[in-house]
Amino acid sequence: MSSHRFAVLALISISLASSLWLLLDVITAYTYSRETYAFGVPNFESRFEALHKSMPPRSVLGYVSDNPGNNTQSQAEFYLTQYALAPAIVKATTEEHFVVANFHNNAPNANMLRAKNLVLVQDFGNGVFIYHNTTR
Amino acid sequence: MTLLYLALAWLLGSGLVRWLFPAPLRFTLQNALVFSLGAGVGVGVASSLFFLTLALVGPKIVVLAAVQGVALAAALVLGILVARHGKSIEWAPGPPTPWYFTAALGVAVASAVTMFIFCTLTKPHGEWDAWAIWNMRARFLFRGGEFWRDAFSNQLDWSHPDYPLLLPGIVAMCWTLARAESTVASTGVAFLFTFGAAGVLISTLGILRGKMQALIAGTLLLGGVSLIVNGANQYADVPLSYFILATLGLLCLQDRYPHDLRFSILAGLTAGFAAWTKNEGMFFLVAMLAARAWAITRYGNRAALAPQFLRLAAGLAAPLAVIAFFKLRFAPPNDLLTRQPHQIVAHLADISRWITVIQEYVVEPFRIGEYLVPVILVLGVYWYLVRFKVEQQDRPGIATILIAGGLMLAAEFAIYVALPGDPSWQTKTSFDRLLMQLWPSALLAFFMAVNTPQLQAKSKAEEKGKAVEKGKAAKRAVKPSAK
Repeated sequence: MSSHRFAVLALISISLASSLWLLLDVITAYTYSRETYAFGVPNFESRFEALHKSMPPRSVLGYVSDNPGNNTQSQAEFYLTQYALAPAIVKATTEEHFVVANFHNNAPNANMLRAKNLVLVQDFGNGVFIYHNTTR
Repeated sequence: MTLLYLALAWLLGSGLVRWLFPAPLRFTLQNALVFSLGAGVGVGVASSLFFLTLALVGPKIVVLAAVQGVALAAALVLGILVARHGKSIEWAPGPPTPWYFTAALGVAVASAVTMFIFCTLTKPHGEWDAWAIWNMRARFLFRGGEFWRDAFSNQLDWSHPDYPLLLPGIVAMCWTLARAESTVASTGVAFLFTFGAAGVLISTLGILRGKMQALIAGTLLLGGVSLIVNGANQYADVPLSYFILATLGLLCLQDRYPHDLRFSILAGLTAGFAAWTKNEGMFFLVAMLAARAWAITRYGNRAALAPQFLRLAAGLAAPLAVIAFFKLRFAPPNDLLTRQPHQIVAHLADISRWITVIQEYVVEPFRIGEYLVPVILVLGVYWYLVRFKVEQQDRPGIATILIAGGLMLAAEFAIYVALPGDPSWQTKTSFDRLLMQLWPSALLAFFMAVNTPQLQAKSKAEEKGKAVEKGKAAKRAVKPSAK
């Protein structure tokens, strides 16, 4: 009988302690996210909102960024751009007629843009631009 | 409004389940099971109807509202007007359950709900897979208008456009009917499945093993952090774990009520919706059928095999037809199936891939649920102290759970080793969620097998009665030798 009681109390105590312990972590993470700049979906949603509203329902866009290629952050930002601009299709290439730019400042690298044959069409602010590829 | 449409989908499902298992409209264990299963069934039916309407008549909100409205009305009429039939479902008999079990479950529920809310406030669009796959596809279906098929474009191959549509479908349905996009839809769906899974586990175990086992298992499931956090992060693994648990739980109930084949019909439906949730659900479907056939042949009544499989097929038919329509007509080929055989052979011959995957298969179970202490060790101690006692009638059900789970793990192992990508990265980013798909069902099997704890000393009257019996027996034994 006492062994059964010990088993049950141990199981329940560990369950509740685990739950309450992580609850503190989750609340702390929430507080931190409110107090600091948080990279993530809401940030991309607000940055790309103006562009999204100005687009026709069906469009295919190229993509350019000032991120270093092939790291997780670059990949995440490309996916977030696609998520924010759906149902437009965003392709990870500049070989499209229109190219959406996701930059981290409002002074993009002119040499890089020239090398990729990109000419500015519109600046939507917050590092979001639309370029035209002159070769397409 | 978005939540209202989700609530109506839940009502639709509850009406259909109640049609199969009618009970008086008051708080009973049977109704807890009905409403817990109603959440998944409702979401499954509503998302299937949304997809079919979109595919057959296009994005016409009036038609969609009419189809969903007729389905809801029919389900409610069936659920309310149906005459009560079959045996009513009650708590299994057991020792009295002390109050602190209910209190512990209450604390676990309160903590889990609070955690879910804070996780949702932190990430209202969910984690990576949620927004990059499921919610993005919902956006294409809702925002795309007549171009909704772009959701399955090959140009989005990184987002797995062949994945089935249960989650994007229900979210897009809520947005379409509400004429507005809101994260409340995907959050509400995640909440239904996360806490619906707890409801299914508690009510199924309550019927099969009694109140005490049900409350302990419920507290343990909700105390586990990964179910709640992954649920709030809107990963599809939680809805899949819900459907796996519902299917296997219904099959266990089928064994307890062998002449009542309604359980198998509903199990077929929930297994079909598992396959409509994620591609792994198709694995589960095959594994479940194989496991069930073996378990009934080995432990059950072989004469029950054909009738049960016919009912399973009847339940499966509609979701499978929807999946086949989607896969054959709209979905691009799965990226894993487009690999060349020589690549697969090269991966199979690479021993380092095997070692990497085996390592993860050994280590990750100790982290399952993300409890403060490895829960499999805790369950091991619990088993040592309380011991198993498996009734004959429960053996086919428990065997079905264990074999289906084992087959799924084996199939995923083969995929990690044989198919493309870095197995270390793949196992580290997905194996914990694969285990979570099976975790609620594993708890069901464990608490079906383990003894009900004996917490109270036997009463004095019982002890006295036993002592008198012993004394009489001793006298009877002594008398012949005295002669």
